[in-house]
Amino acid sequence: MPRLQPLYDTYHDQGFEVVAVERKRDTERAQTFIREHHLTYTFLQDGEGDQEVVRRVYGVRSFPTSYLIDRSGRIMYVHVGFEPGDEVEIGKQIEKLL
Amino acid sequence: MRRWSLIVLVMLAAVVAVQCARKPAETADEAWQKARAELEKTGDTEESVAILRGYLERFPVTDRTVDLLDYLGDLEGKEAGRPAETEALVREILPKITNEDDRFELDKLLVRMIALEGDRERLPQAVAKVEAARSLTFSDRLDLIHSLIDGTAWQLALDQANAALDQTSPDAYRVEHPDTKLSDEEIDKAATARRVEVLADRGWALANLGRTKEALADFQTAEPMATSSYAGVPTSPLYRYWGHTVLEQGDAQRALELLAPDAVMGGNAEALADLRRAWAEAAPGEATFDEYVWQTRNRLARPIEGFTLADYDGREVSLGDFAGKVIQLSFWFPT
Repeated sequence: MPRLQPLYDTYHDQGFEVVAVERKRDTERAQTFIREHHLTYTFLQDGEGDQEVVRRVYGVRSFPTSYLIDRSGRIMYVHVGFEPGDEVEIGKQIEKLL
Repeated sequence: MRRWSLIVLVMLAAVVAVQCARKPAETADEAWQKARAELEKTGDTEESVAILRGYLERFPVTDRTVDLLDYLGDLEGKEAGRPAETEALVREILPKITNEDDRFELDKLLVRMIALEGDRERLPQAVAKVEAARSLTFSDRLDLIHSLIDGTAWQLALDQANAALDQTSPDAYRVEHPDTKLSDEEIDKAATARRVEVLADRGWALANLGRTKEALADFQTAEPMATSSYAGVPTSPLYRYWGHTVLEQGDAQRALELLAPDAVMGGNAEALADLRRAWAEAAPGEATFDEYVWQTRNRLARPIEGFTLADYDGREVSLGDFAGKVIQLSFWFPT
């Protein structure tokens, strides 16, 4: 997650948003993590039961997983896992969509 | 006399000052917090390797040793192509580990490193050691299969896939998870997912052993069962393996169909390289490859389903609030 911050800083002015949904509702840990890493993009907590979206709506089972969505609301790129250097590829994909 | 006592006094004072200045020794947990923060910041493989090795040198035996060595195996052994160095470190640390489960996991990691080294002489013994240690669970088998595939040890991978296939029934799942809370329907689903995964792996081993017919039979058997996907991007390597195999057979058109989702939407580098080859051979139209990729992406892209969730201040936020923007939607949890 901290490595998404530079992408957000670089592209936010051009219409790029990062929305992170925290799956376990581990509020205390999540908030500490966000504060310690100075993360400034949007953080949401997944709902419970019928309100849960991560697994029920999107079928996501491994973490982290991210979808890159274009301006018309279509999923254009799916990224599962996060290895060192992956932010470079994600950055390229973002540039194509902006 | 007075001068001597003064010197002694000054020396004593110096010793006390040094003692006070020295910080209390850092604990393994504190050091790990720091190392983890550094790992999260760097995007560089070699830097990550150095951080992991630095920590393991200071704290070789903790409850995170296995995880860190596994990660080191991925970065140093696989990505950086120096599996022998990771193997040496594992062998150095192994005698200090007393926990039986940890030792077993490290023996599996040794298989992975020896496979990546391409050392065909020592590999069968390393596999046999893991097999002799206990009756292997399905995920143990999968670990071995993936290590052997990564090390292109196809015959051994095939043997493991055959053994794993026997463990893909719903009953085998129940034996392995006696306390499972899953319903019968969910267990069937889990067992089917296992079957798809092993058939894909076995097919891939067979294809690489030149047994193409049997390989294609495995892929075709797996396909109707392969339902798992993220937003239309298949998560099983089945399509990548299958696409490569039909491409080798000269069916570039079919290869394009099989490879496109993973290559274009999932950004899988191997699938993308094969897609490029298939595209060059099938030459669909006059567009460049980049244009072809872009068109394919537009064809495969599906609208995302929206949601409304609360932020940490309790404010409700909808995905639709960001309409018209490019959005990176990430699912995570703090570890």
